[in-house]
Amino acid sequence: MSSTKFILGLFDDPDVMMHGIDKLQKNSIPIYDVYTPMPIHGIDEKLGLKPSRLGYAAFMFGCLGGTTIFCIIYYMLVHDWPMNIGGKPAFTIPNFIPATFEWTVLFTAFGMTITFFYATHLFPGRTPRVMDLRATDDRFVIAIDAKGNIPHEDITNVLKEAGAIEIKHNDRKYVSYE
Amino acid sequence: MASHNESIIREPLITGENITYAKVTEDILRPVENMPNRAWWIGFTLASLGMMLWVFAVSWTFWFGIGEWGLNKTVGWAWDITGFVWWVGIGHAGTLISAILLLFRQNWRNSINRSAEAMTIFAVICAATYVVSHMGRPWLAYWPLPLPNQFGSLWVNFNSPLVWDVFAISTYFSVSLVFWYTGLLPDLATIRDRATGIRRRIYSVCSFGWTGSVKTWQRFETVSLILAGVSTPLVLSVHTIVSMDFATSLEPGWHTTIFPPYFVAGAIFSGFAMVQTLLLVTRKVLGLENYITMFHIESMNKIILLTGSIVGVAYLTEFFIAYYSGGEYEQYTFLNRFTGPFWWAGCLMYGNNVLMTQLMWFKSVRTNIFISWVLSIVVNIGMWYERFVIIVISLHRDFLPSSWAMFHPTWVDFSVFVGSIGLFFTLFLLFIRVFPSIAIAEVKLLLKSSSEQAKKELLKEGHQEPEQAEFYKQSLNKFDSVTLSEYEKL
Amino acid sequence: MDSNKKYWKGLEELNNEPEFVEKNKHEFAEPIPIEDVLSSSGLANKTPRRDFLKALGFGVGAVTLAACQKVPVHKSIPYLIKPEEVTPGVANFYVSSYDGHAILVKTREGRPIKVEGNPNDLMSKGGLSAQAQASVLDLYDYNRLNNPMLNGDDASWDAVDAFVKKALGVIKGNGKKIAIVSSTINSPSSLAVIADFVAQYPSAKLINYDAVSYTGIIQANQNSFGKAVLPHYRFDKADLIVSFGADFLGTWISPSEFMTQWVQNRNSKSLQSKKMSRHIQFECGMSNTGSNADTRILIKPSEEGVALVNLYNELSGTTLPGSKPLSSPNAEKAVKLAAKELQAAKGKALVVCGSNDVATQTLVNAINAQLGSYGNTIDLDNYSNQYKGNDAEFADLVAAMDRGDYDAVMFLNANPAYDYYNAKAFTDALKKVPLRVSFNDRKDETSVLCNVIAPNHYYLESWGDANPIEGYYTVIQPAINPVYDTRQFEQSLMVWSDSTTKDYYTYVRNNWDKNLLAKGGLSGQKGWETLLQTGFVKVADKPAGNYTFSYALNGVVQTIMNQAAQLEASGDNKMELQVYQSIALRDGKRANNPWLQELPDPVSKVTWDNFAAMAPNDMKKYGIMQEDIITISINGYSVDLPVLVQPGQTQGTISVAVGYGRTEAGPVGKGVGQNAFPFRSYKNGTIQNATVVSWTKTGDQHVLAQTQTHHSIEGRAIVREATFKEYVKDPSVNSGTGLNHKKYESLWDEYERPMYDWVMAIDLNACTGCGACVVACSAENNIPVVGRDEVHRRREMHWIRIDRYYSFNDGGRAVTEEQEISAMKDLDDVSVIYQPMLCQHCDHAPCETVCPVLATTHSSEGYNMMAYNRCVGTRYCANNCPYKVRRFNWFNYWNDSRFDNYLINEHTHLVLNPDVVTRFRGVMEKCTLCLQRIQAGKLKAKIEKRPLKDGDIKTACQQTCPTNAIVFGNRNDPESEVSKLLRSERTFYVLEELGVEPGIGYQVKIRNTTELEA
Repeated sequence: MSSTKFILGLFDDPDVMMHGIDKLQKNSIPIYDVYTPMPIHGIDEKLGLKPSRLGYAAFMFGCLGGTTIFCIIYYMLVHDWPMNIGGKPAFTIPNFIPATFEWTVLFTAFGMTITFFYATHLFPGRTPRVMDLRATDDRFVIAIDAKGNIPHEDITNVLKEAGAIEIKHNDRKYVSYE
Repeated sequence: MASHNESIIREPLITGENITYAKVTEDILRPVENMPNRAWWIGFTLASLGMMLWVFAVSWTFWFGIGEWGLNKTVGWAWDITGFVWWVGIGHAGTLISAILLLFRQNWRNSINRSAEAMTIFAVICAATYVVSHMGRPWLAYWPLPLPNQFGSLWVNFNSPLVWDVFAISTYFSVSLVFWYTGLLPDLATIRDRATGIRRRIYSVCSFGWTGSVKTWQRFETVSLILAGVSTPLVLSVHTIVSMDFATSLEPGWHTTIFPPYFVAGAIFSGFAMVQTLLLVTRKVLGLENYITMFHIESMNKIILLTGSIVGVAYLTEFFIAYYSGGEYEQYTFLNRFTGPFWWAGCLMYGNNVLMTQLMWFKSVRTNIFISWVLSIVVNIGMWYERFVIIVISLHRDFLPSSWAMFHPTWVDFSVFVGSIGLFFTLFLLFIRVFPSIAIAEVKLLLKSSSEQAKKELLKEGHQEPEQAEFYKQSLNKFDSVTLSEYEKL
Repeated sequence: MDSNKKYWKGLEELNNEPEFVEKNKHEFAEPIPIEDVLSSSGLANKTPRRDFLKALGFGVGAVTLAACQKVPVHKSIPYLIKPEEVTPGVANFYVSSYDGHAILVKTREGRPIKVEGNPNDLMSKGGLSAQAQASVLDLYDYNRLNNPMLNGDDASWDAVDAFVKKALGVIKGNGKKIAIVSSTINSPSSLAVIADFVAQYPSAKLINYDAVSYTGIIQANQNSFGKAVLPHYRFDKADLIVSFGADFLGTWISPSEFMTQWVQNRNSKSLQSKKMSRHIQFECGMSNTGSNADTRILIKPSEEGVALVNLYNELSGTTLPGSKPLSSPNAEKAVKLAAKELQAAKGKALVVCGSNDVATQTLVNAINAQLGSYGNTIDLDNYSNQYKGNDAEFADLVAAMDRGDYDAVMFLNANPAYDYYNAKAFTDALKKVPLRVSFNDRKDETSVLCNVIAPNHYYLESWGDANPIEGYYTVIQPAINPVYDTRQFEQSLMVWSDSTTKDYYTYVRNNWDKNLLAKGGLSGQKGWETLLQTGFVKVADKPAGNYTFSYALNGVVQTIMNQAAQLEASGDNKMELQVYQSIALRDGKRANNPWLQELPDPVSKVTWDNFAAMAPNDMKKYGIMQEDIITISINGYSVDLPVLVQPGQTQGTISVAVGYGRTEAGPVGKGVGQNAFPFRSYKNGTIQNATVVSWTKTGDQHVLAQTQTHHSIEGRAIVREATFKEYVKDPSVNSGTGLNHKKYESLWDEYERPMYDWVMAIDLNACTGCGACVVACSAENNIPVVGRDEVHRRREMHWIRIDRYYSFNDGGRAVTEEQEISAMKDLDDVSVIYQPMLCQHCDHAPCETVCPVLATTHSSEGYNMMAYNRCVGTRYCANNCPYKVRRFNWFNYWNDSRFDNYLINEHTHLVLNPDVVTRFRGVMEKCTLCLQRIQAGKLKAKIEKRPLKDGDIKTACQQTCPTNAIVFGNRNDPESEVSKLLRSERTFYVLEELGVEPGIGYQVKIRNTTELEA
C-alpha cells in the first residue's frame, strides 16, 4: 500500500472537469472535494450538496435588528424621557422608520456574513488548507481520498480519460502547511 | 459546449487574443505583484500632497473654530454639506453596480464592480470627515449617537434627519465594507497562493484561509446574492435620508417632496461619472483594456445619460411645482437661481447636468474615450454645483429679506474640499496597489462564454446566421482593443 | 508526637560562629545605604542592583502613600463679613440719575451690571436711550485714568493739589482769569460748589460748552420773549408736529423724553380711541425722526430757512420782503399743505427746527406764536436746563486765551480739542495758558494738552443731583466704590478753594436739606431717605405765562436769505453738507464703548463707521457705487469717507455723522470713522451745522459693516401697514384678522401650559427703531461684541435686531421689489418701516425638530429653550429658522485675542450678568425671553407669598423701550396687557402661514397720511 493520501485530478477547463466528475461517479469513485478558482454552477447538485440555509439566518437577524432599535427608540423618547420637541407628540412613529430600517439592514448583513464565516471556518489568519496551489489560479482540482479500496491506477486512468492534464498522488493532505 | 455560448450578437466582455485563466490572473495582478510605474508615483505624490493640505486645513478649523469658514448667520451650511452630499452621492454608484446590476444579472458589471465598491468606501470616508468637521464642537461628535451617558437621561432626537443620517451613513459604510471584503476573499487567496515569504503571510491572514471548495463557493454565492438584495434598498434609503435633511425642513428650495427620488438619481448619476473618470485612467495606466472594454465604457455612458435625463426631469418638475404651488417664497427661490447674485452657479448646475449629458445620445460621443472622460468630469462639477445651488442659494435669500446675505468662501473652505479629493485619490491609489482592481474570479466566469476569442471560435465553426455574424463584426469596430484584421477572412 | 528536631541553616549556625551571631542581630544581612544614597555623595557613587530595587520599592511605597492624601479643597467665601444689604445672588437696585433721567442701577454683589429707567421718571417713564443703557460698561472701561496726572506723569492727589493751589494762588495775585469749561451743568450742588470756587477766586468763570449746542434756540427766545432759555417742548400735547430737520426722536435735546411724549398720540390706546397725531418732517438727510414721520419732505439745508419763511407767509398771509419760492415744486406744495393743516390745528400744533441759527429759530418762534403754541405745546416757564451751552461765550474764551488773558482753564466733561469746529485755533490758544486742568475721565484729545489731569468719578461712583427741567430735581448716588483712584471734580474744586465742608457728600446733603428737599415737601433725615427711595422731587408746574412775539422779522428774513445764498452749492464737485449726530455715538464722548459702536444705525444699519450719505440719483449721476471712498474737503480740512446709498437723501446734499474719528478715545473708539466736527462753521454767534464742501472720487473702496444689506420687502406680507383713514374705517385692515382670516389647524394635540404661557406683543406703530432694546439686551444677556470685520461677514450676535425696510412710492403705489426699484428713476419718495425681530418662540418650533442632540426643546411655559452645553453646533436649527434669529458662536469671543474690543480684560468682566452664562465657541444661542428675569419674578412673588401679577416681569428690551412698543406677559391670563393686545384687531403674526405658531404678535403700523400728498 503506497503512502498516497490523496489523488488530485487537475483540469484546465471547467466543462471538462464536470465530465470528469460524471466519469468518476459512473465508476463509483467517491469524490472528496472539488477546488476551483471560480464558482462552477451546477456542481453542487452534481455532488449532492444541500442548498445553503444562510437566507433564513439573514431573515432572523433582520427581524432582530429592527426590533432592537425600535425598542431603544421607544424607551428613550417615549418611556424614559418624553419631551416637547417642536410641539410634536412623543411617539412619532413615522420619524422612527429610518433608523429602524437602517438597523434591520445592518443586522442582516453582519449577522449573515458572520454566520457564513463561522460555518465555513473562515477567519483572519486561519491556515489555508490548500491541496494544490494553482486551484485558486487556473486549475480545477478534483480531490479523491486515496484510502478507498479502488486501486489508485484505476482512478488515475479514469482521470486521464476524463482529460485531466495532470494527476498528482499527494502523500500529504494539504500542501500549504510549510 | 454550446450550452455555455451566449448569442453571437452580444458584444464581447473580454477582448484580446488567447486569453487563458492564467493570463487573466497575470494581467489583473500585474500592478499588485510588481513595482508601480511612473504614472502611479506621480499620481500618488499629487494625491498625498492634497491629503496633507486636507489635514492642515481641518486642523486649522478645529483649532480656531468653524468661523474660519465663510459661513454666516444666514448661510449656516455651504461647502461643508455640499461636499458631504457630493461625496455620499459619488459613493452610490459602487453599491449600485455591485448590488443592483448583480440582481439584474448584468455580467459586464464583473470587471468594474471591485473598483467601484472601493470607490464607494473611500467616498463615504470623505463624506464622514465632513460630517465631523462641520460641527461647531467636533470633539463632541459622538453626542449624536444614542449612547447611555453620564449627563443624566440625555438621549438623541430620533425626529432629526441628522440622527437618521448618522444611522444611514454608518450602516451604509459598514455594509459596503463587508460586501466588498467578502468579495475580495477568493482573489486574496489567489494572490496568497502565488506569493512567497512575508507577502504570502500577510495575504494568508487577509484571505481568511479561503480554499475555493464547492461548499464555500456555494455559500459565497448565497451571501453575495443576499447582500446585494439588502444593499439595494439600503443604497436607495441612504440618499433618501440625506435628501430628507433638506426635504423635511421649512426652507424654500429645500421643502420639496420630490427630493428623495431626485437625489437618488443624482447620486447614481454623479457616481457613475466618477467611476468613468477613474476607470478610463486606471484602464490605461494598468493596461486593462481587455477587461474594461469599450462595451463597458459605452454602457456606463448610457446609464449616465439615463440618470442625467431623470435628474433633468426632476429639475423641470421642481420648477413646475414652484410655479404651481403659488407659494411666493418658493417661487422667488427658484427664480433667484437664475436672476439672483448666484445666477452663474445655477447655470453651471443646469448646464453641466442636463445639457452636456444630452450629448451622449450620439454613439460617436459615447464611444470616444477622451470625450467620455471630459464629460464625466463635467458631470462631477455639475453635481457639485447642484448641491451648492440647493444649499447656498436657498439659504442666502429665504423668508425675511432683512437677513438676506451673500456667501464668500475662505481659503479654508477651498483647502478642505480640494484636500478631501486628495484624500480620496490617495486611498484609491493605495487600493490598486494592494488589492486586485478587478474581481478575478468573476471575470474568469465570463471567459468561456462572453470573451471575444470564444465568439471568434463560434464564427470559425460558422453555424451562425450570416447577418448576425455581420452585425457582430460591425459592433467590434468601436473597440479600441480588438484587431479587426483577421475578421476579414471569416 | 511533637518533634524537637533542630534544623539549622548552615554550619555557621550550627557551631554558632561569632560573626553569624553578630549578623543575626540585624534585620538585613548587610546594612541598607539609604542615607548615603539619598545624600549627594551617595548619588554620585554607583549603587548595586539590589539597592536600586530597594530604592524603587521605597519610592513606589512612598509615592503611593503620598497619593492616598486627599487633594486639599479650597473653599472660597464670598463675604467674610457680609454687608447686611448684600445677599449673594440677589440684585440690589439704587436710584440715581443719568442725564437728568431718574434711573435705577442694578447691582449684583456690589457691582453695577445694568442701568434701568425709573418707572416714575417724569421725563421718559422708565424708558432709556441706547447711550444710557451702554453707560454702565464705561464704568469698567480700563482706559479711564487710574490716577491723577501731573505734567504727563502719574502723581498723587496731594502733589496735584499742591501744584494747582500754588498756581491758583499766583493767579489770585496777578488777577488773571480762570475759566471752567464744562458741558452743561444743571446740578444745583455742582453749581453751588462752582459758585464757592468763584467766590474764592473771583476771576474764575463757568463757561458752558456743549459739543452740539442749542444756542440758536436760547438766543432766539431771548430775542423773541426776552427769556434766554431752552423751552420744554410738549410733543404729547401736539396733534400736528411739523419738524424742520429736528431729529427729536433720535438726538435732539431730550430724545427719549420726546419719544415718550410723541407716542402718547400714536400708541394702541390712542388709536383705539380713534386718535392719532400727524407728523410732517422737512429734512435733508434721512434721520430716525424723519423715517418715522407720516409725511417726509426733502429739502436742502440751504432751503430750510426759505421754507420756514414761506410757511410763515402762508400762515400770516403777509409776504416778508426777500422771500422766494422753493426750488422743488413738491416741497413748495408741501409747505402750503402744512400751513393749511397748521392753521386747522392751532393751539395743538408744534413747529420745531433743528437749526442752530438764531435768525431761523426766531422765525420758528414767530410761527409758533402764530399758532398759539406757547403755553400749550411749548413750555417756556418750566423750561429745560439740559443744554445751556453758549457758542459765542466759548468763541470769546478762545480769543481771550489767545490774547493771554487767561492763566488757568479747567475742562470738565468737555473735549474741545476734538469737537470744536476750529480745534486748531483752540489748541494754539490753549498753549498760551499756564495752568491747564482736565477733569475728564481719560487721556482724551484735550486732556493730553493739559498739565494737570484730575480724573472725575464716573456718575455711578458719584454723589450729586441734576435739574434737567425746571422744577424737576433728581439725585445721583453711588452704586459702587470708585473703581480707580479718581476724585469727584466738585471735591477737587472744594479742596482747591479751601471749602469748609470737607467732603462733597456732606455738601450735597446740606444743599438738599437747605434748598431742595423742601421743594418736594420732604425734610430732614427721613426726607433724605425717602429721596433715596424715590430718586427725585418735583415742584408743581409754574402756570403758563402769556408770551407775545415781538421782534422785527425783516432783518431776520434778510439774514436767513443771505445764509441760504451762501449755502447754495454751485459747481459739479460742490455739494451741501449737513453734519448730524448718530443715534449710537451722538457727540462721540462714548466713542470707546463697543456696545454703541456695534449698535447698527437705525436707518443705515451701519456699524463701526461713519460715512457720506448720498442720494441714489446723485451717485448715478457721478458714477459712484456704495463703499467708494470720496474726499470731502472744506477750507484746508478734508476727510476720506465711504459713500452710502441713502434713499430719501435730498439730491445735491451729503450727510455725515459727527462723533467718529476720535484719536485719543481708547482702543475701541480710536480711528473709527472720520471727524466731521470741523465741517461746522461759526456764523452770527452760533455754530452752524450745514456748509458747502467740495468733493472728489479717490477710486478706493472701504467696506461698510452693515447688519442688513437688502432693504426692500419684496412684496411680502411680513411687515404690514395701513393709513389712519383705513384704520378708522376698519381696525383690522391689512392685519389679516378680518373675516377672511385663515385659521391654521394643528396636526397634533397641543401640550399643556398649566401655569404660564409667555408671549410678547410688539407694536410696529410705536417702535421708532432707536435701538435701545438692542443694547439693553446685550447688557442683560452678556452678548459678545464681534467687531466690524465679523459684522461685515454677517456674524453680529445681537439677539434682538431691528429690521428696517424701505418702500418707494410711485404715484401712490408702494414699490417694494428689487427689480422694479432698480427701474425707478428717483428714489426720493421713500417710506420706512421698522420691525424688531427676535426669537418668535414658536409653539411648533422648526428648530427643535431638527436638533440631533435635543439641545433646544420647548418649555412647559411656552418658550423655546436652548441648552448651550448640550449643543454640538450643527447649525441645522439656524438654517431651519424662518426668522433667522439664531446666533452661532463662530469663535470663542470670550478669550480670543482677535476680539479684544471688550470682555477680554479683567475689568470689563465685572459688567457680566451672573444670571446668564457666557457661551462657548461652537454653540448656538438666541433670545431666551430673559428667562432669568422670569425666574427672578416668580421667586419674588413666591417669597412675598402672592401670585405673580401682570407686569411683574419685564424683559430687558421691554423695560428700556421709551415708547412701550414691546409688551411681554402671560397669555393664560386673559386680563394681562399682552393678551388684550394680542386680541386686538391690529395684531398679526409674521409667517403665520408656515404653521410654526409664533408666540410673538405684531401690530400693524398706521400712517397718518392725507390723500393730498399721495
